[in-house]
Amino acid sequence: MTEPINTSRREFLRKASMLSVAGTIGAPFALNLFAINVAAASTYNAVGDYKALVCLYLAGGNDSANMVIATDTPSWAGYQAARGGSIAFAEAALLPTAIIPTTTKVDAVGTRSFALHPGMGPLKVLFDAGRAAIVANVGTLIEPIADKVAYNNSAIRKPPSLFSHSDQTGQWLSADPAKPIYGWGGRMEDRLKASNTRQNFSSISLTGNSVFLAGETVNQYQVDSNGSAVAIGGMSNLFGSNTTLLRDIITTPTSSNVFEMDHAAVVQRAIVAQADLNSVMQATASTVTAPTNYNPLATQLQTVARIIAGQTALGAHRQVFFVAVSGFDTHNGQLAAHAELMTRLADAISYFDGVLSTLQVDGVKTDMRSKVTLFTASDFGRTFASNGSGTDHGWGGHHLVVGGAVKGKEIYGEFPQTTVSAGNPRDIGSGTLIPNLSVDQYAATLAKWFGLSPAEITEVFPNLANFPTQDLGFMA
Amino acid sequence: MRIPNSRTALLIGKIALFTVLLSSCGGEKTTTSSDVVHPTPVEASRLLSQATFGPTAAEINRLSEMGTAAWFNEQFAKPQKLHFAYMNAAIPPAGQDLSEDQFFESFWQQAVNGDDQLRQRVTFALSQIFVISFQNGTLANNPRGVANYYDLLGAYAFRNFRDLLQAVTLHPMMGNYLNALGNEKTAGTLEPNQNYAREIMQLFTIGLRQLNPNGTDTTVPATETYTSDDIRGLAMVFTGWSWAGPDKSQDRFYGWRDVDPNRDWLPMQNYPDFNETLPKSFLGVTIQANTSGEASLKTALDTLFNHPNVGPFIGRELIQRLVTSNPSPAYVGRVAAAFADNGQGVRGDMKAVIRAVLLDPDARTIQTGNTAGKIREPVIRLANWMRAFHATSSSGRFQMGQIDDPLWGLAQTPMRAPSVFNFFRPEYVPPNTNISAAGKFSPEMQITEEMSVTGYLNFMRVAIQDGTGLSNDIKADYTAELALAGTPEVLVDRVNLLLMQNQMSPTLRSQILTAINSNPGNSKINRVYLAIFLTMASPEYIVQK
Repeated sequence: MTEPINTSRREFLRKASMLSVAGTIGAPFALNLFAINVAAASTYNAVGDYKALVCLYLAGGNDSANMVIATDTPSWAGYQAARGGSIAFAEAALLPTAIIPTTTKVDAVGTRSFALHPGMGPLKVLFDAGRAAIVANVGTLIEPIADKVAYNNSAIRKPPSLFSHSDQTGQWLSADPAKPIYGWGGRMEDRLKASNTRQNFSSISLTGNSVFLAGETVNQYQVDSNGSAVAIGGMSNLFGSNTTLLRDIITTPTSSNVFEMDHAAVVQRAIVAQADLNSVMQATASTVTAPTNYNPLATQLQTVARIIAGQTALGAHRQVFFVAVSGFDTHNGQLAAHAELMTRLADAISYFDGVLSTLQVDGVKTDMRSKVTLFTASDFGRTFASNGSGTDHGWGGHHLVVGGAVKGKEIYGEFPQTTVSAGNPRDIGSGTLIPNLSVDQYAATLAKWFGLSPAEITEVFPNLANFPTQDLGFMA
Repeated sequence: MRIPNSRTALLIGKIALFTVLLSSCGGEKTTTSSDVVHPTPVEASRLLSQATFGPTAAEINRLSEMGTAAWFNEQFAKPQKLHFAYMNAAIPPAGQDLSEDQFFESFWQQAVNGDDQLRQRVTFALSQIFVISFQNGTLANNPRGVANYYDLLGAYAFRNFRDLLQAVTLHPMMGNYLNALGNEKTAGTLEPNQNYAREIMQLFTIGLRQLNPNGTDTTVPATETYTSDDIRGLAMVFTGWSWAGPDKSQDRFYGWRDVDPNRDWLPMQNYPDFNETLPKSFLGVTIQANTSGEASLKTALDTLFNHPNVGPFIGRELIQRLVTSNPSPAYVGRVAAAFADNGQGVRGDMKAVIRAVLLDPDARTIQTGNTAGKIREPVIRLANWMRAFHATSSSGRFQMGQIDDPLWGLAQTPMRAPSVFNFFRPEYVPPNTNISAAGKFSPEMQITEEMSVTGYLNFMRVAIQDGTGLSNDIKADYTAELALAGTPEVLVDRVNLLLMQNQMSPTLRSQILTAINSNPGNSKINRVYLAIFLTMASPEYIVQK
């Protein structure tokens, strides 16, 4: 696995020197990239010094109130009042997926009890095994908002454009209102990229463009969900001409028009990264078992596992990945649609846990689960009240963290009351919940595990200092 | 913009080429009268690149001949050809139902051969503002309804925005997509579905931030246009609406029984039993309790239509789809002024808005500076090629299918946006780029990434040589180009005019000529492929200026 890297490095050197001689606009970018790679080796040269964070995005706003259900008597009464007759589960349906956290939750409601969505049996297995945790009522916040009174106090800052898909997605994944085009995955990699020989493989999407992965210096690399590593054809022989001019034309801008320059830079990255991706995909084609049932999310996670398996060839030590499922904007017909989503979600997470438990790394079957942490994110939670057959855009929601380094079998944070009423201090209407925990707290806990220093965490999450607890304690 | 060294020689070459083009359509250029603007062929190609699915040699000549004003008048008067009619006549493959595939056939047939090109290009732009998508399962099962919705955008493209807004709102496919269809009044803790109320404000009319008439924010930080209470109030207006039919039975409302055979396209009707009876308050307006669904809708749409944001908000989006990613505030302001008043006191006249977008000095003059222009959408690039080189489909059907896979297709298919937020957002800023450093937007960069640039190049390389669509049945006719292949300079000039509006740099021109001449024995058809593919692969072509 070392040979392809050396070849490719020589190729890169040759190309870099060619560019510098030519003195073209493309040169500084390529040379910087090379310099970064050279600087990398000294700090993270230990094979096996590896961690990955996988952001699993539930696009559209997950109705997490039907993912984690409070089943104690007062909670159940509130749940049935808000959702009964349209989108509530029957009590018996939840018995097989009842979960019992190690630490019993006792709060103002009483002693709480819980169940997962009935389709999430495989997730219950992971929860019970201590590799999955739930973090309750997380959402976008700038500073703590204690209750409805505080929410209506204009002196307390609220996130802008609440309940808007595009804006809340951006804020969830950016965590820096001043720099909404950069994501916290990418900004973590800005600080850790030196660990990766191949910078293109620091921040990887299996599902299209995501703000989560965008760094201020790190660019996200988008990979086909099936891992297809297709090259641009016609580079050395094109329509009967033995010409290599195609590569020059597509990668070297001829003017200083910003669109032309940026398009050419994307093509240049595509060419460089494709060769590396291709070698990894060939090497792992038969070592990572495919999911048994049709499950596009599991397919994305299979490709993630293959890239993780290629860590040595890529010289990768700290990687962030982005995978996603859409269809969560369940304004109507929710019960059936959400059941399919929850089932696939649990199946895919369980599949990922399975392949990581015996991942073939450098020819050796390795349990990578303590090195890889998967967590969910979503636009927002949804209204606790039903609109008849679905739910509308809300705010706070519950999230899942899964992996061998997770202090699992626990529910972190204050689990909300289930009454949709003036009496619920966190309900600002229709069961839209003011988050108890901020995205920043949730994310910073992951960032600390990932290896960012306290100073770096403060840089990546500028609002974190507004919150009393900066480590929610769910990571070992 | 880019003046070659051998300027005189090149100009002579171009004039000669234009003569060839002009005579090919059999016309002599008429004397320019003082009140008619006859664009040069280069100017005509540039207008056609913005206002149509792509220039052809014949249309460049025709536009030059007739003048810009006459061309617009002609285009506004062209009758619309209905995709709906195609769907009704279409015969799906044996054992299959009608599907999105038949809509795509109709779309590409019209894009390539239709003579109402202005309407078609504006309709395509509107379909990316008033988004519905075949990616929604219900819509995928009602392809004729989606075709009818697309026709409706085309029909209202040249009418009034207020009527367009109402037609969009009441179309059952939009009703399904954003859940106004079957939405019910408040009952206990059950509140009306807010989906359409939110998106009609955020995406179809006023946007999130209060705007000046020139599209800039009124305050820093921006003032939000609405609150969640406004959404809750407006959501009540969109209750009681459901499938059309001869009665208003509960079964028909829920779609359980009483299914009208034309309910997939007939405008939704209001069912009083399900319409909100409480007062409906939003944006400073209160509709009294027990107001009918129809009267409530009129008040709501009038309120939105008359909001000062609509002109700059919609105007800027149309400019971004047709002309440039970063219009100046003055340009947006002029388009918004045309929206506010067409010169005869009428607000929302779409013809006036379209003229303002395309005839503005900022659109008609090539903008200099490093941030000018926009990335051409992949669907538009494919259409450019089909039109410039007279693509035909041997079956006559233009069976293109889905092409939204980034690696194997073009990352974009008409009417298959991933969500109501379209393939890309108007204010997308690609991070860590020259564009972001310049503080500019580039919507199309949202779908420009390692896979999609690879996919585009491979897709076009195959299409140019072998054809595209099902069984590569859609093939170009390169007769005119083959005739020029013996003189590569003239061949490249023609491709430059048709695809690049004569904006090719000397560097690119020289690279393409070098590639063509690198094999002196190469066939004429290979020279044609090289000229077209290397042009379409270049960043210079990909960025429309």
